[in-house]
Amino acid sequence: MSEKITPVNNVGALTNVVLALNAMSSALDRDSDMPGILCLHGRSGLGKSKAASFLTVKFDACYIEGISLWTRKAYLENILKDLGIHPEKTMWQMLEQIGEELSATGRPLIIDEADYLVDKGLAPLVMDIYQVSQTPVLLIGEERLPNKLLTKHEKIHNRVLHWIAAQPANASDCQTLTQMYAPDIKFDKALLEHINKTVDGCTRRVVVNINLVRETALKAKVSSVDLDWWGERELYTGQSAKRRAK
Amino acid sequence: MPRKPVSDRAGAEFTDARAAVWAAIRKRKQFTIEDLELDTRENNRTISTYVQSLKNGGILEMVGHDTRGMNSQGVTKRKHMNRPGIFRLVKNVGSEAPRLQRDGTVVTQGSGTRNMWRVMKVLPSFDYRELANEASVDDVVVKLSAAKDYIHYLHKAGYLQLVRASKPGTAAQYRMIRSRFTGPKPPQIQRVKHVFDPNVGKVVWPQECAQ
Repeated sequence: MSEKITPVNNVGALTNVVLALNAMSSALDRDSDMPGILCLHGRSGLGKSKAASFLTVKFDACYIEGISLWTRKAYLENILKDLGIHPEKTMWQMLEQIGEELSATGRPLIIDEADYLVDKGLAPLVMDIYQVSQTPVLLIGEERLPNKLLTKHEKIHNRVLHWIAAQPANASDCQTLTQMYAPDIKFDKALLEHINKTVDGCTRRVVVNINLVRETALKAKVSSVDLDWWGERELYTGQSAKRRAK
Repeated sequence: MPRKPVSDRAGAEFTDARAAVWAAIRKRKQFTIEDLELDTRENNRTISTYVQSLKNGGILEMVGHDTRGMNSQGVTKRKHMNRPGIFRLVKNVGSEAPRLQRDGTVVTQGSGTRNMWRVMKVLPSFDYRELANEASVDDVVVKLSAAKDYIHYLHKAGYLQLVRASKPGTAAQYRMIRSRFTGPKPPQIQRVKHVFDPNVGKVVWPQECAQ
């Protein structure tokens, strides 16, 4: 049944995706004297990865996800791997290879989990890459990332063109998500609002609950659901189960 | 004559002729088709078609004619030898060979697969619907069946790990195994349903076919 549903192609309608998309577009069009570093920050589950994947595909960006134990060399090597270039031996040569490829193609660079990079004091690497390539670099991290940059690496903090704070899901995001994850079930507004409130705008958990409601609805053989029908059934909140009252 | 299966080039430095030609072009910057032939040992027709496409796409321009083997009047000594063009690289668009048709327009075939491969690397986990959704950007539309198929074969070939098995009403969730990201080129499902990884240049599944 679900095979007949065509993809809705509306990832681009989600608030955080739109914010990131606008920031990246303006960074790509910026005047040459403007800085080109971007920072997308917010707590986990707000859909930062969704935004990252959209930008990666849309702008054919080079994407890497940091790991806590990565060294500078590991970052450089992994960027080159994503670009499909065999790395030279030394780090300065690798940096040149990266600069040459990114500036020739105009592809932006996205570094996910950038907290690891900043925590390790490797952030100057971002400056180096930016300087040799002049293409936008998007750092993605948790909500404290801007603060960390300010206290640890003011030089980079000053070169950030846009700070994008990931927003909690709103009503229209929830609607978009139902179209993506439960196109065969009609959700009523109040139920979506209830879900969104329960999970505090966490996109990932909104999705989990949309799936949960969809499953329940399919079992009950209903195609349209509202708050009354859902009633007191429990939603997934990600919290460990409360102790039952005796 | 149909193109040979890509795995026939296994072991060669470049997985397709165009990649080899492009690398030679980037090295030389200015060249004749004969130069490229000497560098790459690829078929003359293949090279000239590609050079033509690149010229129409504005990546190369013709800057003159090769006058070697001519007398001072510009007449070739041998009548049958026409004067080969000299081309120059004007737009270096990176290490990846531009995918252009003969008229210089961009080839869109395969974009869906490329998008899916990118999305798989970025998303922490995904099911086929999410994959199709995220990979459908701009004019590229990835069908749900295509996403399902691609996941199926990449899982068999060991690129993906099953995170949560499917149950009635919910699709299976997968994630890419980090160490199995071999490079930017998407593994291809060949017509014979073998998985060929152009990043390493070989058939990786089924095992008995892997060289």
